[in-house]
Amino acid sequence: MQVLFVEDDAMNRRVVRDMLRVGGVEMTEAPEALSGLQMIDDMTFDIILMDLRMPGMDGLTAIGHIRARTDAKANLPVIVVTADTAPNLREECLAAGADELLLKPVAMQDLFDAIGRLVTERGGDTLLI
Amino acid sequence: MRGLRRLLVIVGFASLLPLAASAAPAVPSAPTIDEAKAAMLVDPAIALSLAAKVEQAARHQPPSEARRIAVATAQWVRAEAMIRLNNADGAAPLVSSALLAVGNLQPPIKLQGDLLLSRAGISSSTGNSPKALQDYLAAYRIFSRVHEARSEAIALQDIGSIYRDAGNSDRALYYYRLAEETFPNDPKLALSNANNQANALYELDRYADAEREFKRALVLATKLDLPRQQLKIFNNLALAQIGTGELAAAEASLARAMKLSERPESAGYRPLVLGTAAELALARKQPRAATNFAESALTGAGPDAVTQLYRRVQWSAYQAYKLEGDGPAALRHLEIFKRLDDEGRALAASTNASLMAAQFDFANQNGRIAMLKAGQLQRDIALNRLQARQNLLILGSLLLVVSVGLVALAVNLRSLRRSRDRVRAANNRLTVVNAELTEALLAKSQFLATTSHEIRTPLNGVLGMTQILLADRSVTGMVRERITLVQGAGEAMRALIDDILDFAKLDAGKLEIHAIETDLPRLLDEVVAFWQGRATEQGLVLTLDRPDCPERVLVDGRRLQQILSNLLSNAIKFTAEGSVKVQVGMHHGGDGEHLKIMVADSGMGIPPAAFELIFEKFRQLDAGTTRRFSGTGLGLAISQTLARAMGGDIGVASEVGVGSTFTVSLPVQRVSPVMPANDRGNPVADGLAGARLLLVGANPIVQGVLRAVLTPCVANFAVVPDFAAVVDRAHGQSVDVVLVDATALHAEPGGASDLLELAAATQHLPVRLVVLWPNAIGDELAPLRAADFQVISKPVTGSELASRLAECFAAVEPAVLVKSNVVTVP
Repeated sequence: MQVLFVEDDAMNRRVVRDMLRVGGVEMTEAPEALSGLQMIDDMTFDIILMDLRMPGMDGLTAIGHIRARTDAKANLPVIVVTADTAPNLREECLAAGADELLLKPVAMQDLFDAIGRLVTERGGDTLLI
Repeated sequence: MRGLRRLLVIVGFASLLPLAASAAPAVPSAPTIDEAKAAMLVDPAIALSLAAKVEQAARHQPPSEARRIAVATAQWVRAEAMIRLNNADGAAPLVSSALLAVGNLQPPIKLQGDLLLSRAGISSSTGNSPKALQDYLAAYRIFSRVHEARSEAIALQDIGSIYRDAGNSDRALYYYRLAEETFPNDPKLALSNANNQANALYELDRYADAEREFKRALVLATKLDLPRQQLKIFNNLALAQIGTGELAAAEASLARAMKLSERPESAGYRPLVLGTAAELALARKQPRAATNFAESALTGAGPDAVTQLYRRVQWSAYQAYKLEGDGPAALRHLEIFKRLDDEGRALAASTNASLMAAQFDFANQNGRIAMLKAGQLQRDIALNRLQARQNLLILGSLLLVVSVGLVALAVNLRSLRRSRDRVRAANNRLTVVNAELTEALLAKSQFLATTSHEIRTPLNGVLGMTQILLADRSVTGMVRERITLVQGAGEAMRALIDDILDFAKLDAGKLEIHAIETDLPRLLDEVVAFWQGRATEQGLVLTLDRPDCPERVLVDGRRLQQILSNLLSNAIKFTAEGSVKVQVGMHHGGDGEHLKIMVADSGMGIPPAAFELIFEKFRQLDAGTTRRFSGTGLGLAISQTLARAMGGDIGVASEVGVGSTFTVSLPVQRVSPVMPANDRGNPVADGLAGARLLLVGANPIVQGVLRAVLTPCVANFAVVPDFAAVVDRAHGQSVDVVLVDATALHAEPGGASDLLELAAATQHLPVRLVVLWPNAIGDELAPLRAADFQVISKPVTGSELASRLAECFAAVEPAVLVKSNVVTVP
């Protein structure tokens, strides 16, 4: 499974990277939105994890760009990972095109369940377990 | 500055006098306590000895609440006397003792507020501003509850002064204005208020405004015939006038101050007036005069010359000597000034930081004040509008009668204009108050949002890493214990932040209740199971009794879980030994069915007087409880608000030393149980519909994927960490199909032979064993097949996996399977 994590804070990247390793997955990292979008162009991923507050382009705008694509990658599942607790944030993210919202501090099993669920739903029956 | 605060204290004390007779209980000592209070304004030493006698007499009475109050009142008077006699150290223990005696009285009495004011004054004079602020705020709250507007105003002014000490004159001004609004009718209070505002404005370099306020204060000081106050005000007025450049006016004010300082009782203030003269001379570009004045001031000050009081004078001296060209002298004074300035700034900065938290709390309070005011003003506006309309009606009918009407016309025009003016004024005030309210709420929301966000991010690092470490099974023993401890502490922090955030949302009215179909028995079981560990640790017996519990109800499960968890947490926390019993039942009332959950513990119990108190925010039984049992005191407040938002409530019954029972009552709707929808519509997968599936050995991501794929197809999907657990479940007859992910097994010590052991352990049981094996071809898997393992080769698609599993399930017979030819691989 190929996972991309777009997040500006190095500590957070490290935490999620180690978590995914526990799950047997090696993830790719992008320190901000622009390089993340570039990686989506150049590489293949099964799912994207996205932070919200980043310098330059923020997470929701980046998701908008992904959804605006004209190829199959426009349907990539996206999980927002954030510490933001504003009311209605979940609705805002879903409206912007995200599929799920995980609130920091992240519970490892929640992350895995969310990844498993979204990858299965989007992959349809072509997903190979 | 200190003197002005003293004046405030005197005013506050004096405010007690007319009320003394009604406030003090009818005990034989009553006349003497009033004498003591009256003596305070004349000679504190007399007041001290009188109050001591009162206290003696009061102690001879039989113990009762009245006696406690009488003793505490006498102690308070003694403490106030000592403060005036500059004996703060002697006063402090008296105040503490008095607060201990009457601090918990409900409903609160004014004495509690007065004691807090005294304590705050002591804290403030010893430089402990945050503690002082805390006490001032608490005093303010008490005065609000007992409707003592004058004391409220005093507390507000004191708060303002704390902020001035922290260098935050803006905020200080705000509180001074609020104080003025709260009680404008007392001339002494008005005097100190005008002075405070003037000083704050001066700090903000708003010299013209400061001048105006000093003049207002001057009028009051003259009216009240207080020459010492007049002296100080003239001095400060002169400084303000130097600031606005009105040097002639400054000279005049200074002359008045000089004259007043010639009186013997004001002699101590003279050096400061000389200091002001130095500043005026500098403004006039007369360095020689300036140095002369400065030196006289510093000489007259004696040892005080190098303290904060004379910081300005040191600066004036430096500037004067610099202008004169006397380098060494200038340097000398500059060094002293710099030291004083640095000290002052450092103190202000640290005070300011620790005040920010209190600031948030007061924004909260203020928001509520503003809301109340807004409500009041709206009522005023409505009333005034009504009057205006009435006046209009009268006006109209009188116009018909021409001759008499002319006279009446004039009269009514005037009252109409007055009503209109009042409406306009009220509208203006409402706009201001609304702006304040919005600002207060915005500040609070921003503070909470930022804090929550800032704390969650590093917490993600802590909890993320502990989860990762604990997921590594090679971490064992003492190391695992320690990491588990860190995780527990991190979880506690997270719960705390969630609590605070909930509280904020509740406060802002942003709470959402989502009632959905919920498996109630399962929810109750899970919550109780969660707390079982902690209960056992403390040696308590935790039981759940839920006969006739409806299977499915329409309720906000998350919130119900939150309430129950909170009650269980409290029950376990406050019970040293014995049991915690949870009882669940349905009650049929006039307005439908109610779910009733009772949490009964055999703990320390709660006194009836505190029944309402414990549900208040930030409250625990008493300060001692808060220290012994950690917690924000928010839990019950949140739980009750949640319960009420859901249409129900929480009640408490208790006996001290025996135990407490908290009862949650919520209106709920039963829902008829529905079979889980199978949206695959696949006849083969339907075959799995009744199966209880157990997954073992899968790495977490595969777990997540398989959970997503299979949960819609099966009756029950569960995950266990090892084969021992599989065998347990199999014996317990709670599983039909066992799915093993072999990829993960390669990391296990036993590998494939463990699988055969598993087969052997379950051979007599009606379970089907299935293994997911990568690229399963060839004979290597023959032993597994012989042991009746179904082998499914990876990779496989979701639907194919489901159909293969369905086949296996169909093959399970309820009768015991007898297997033959089990081949054991060495």
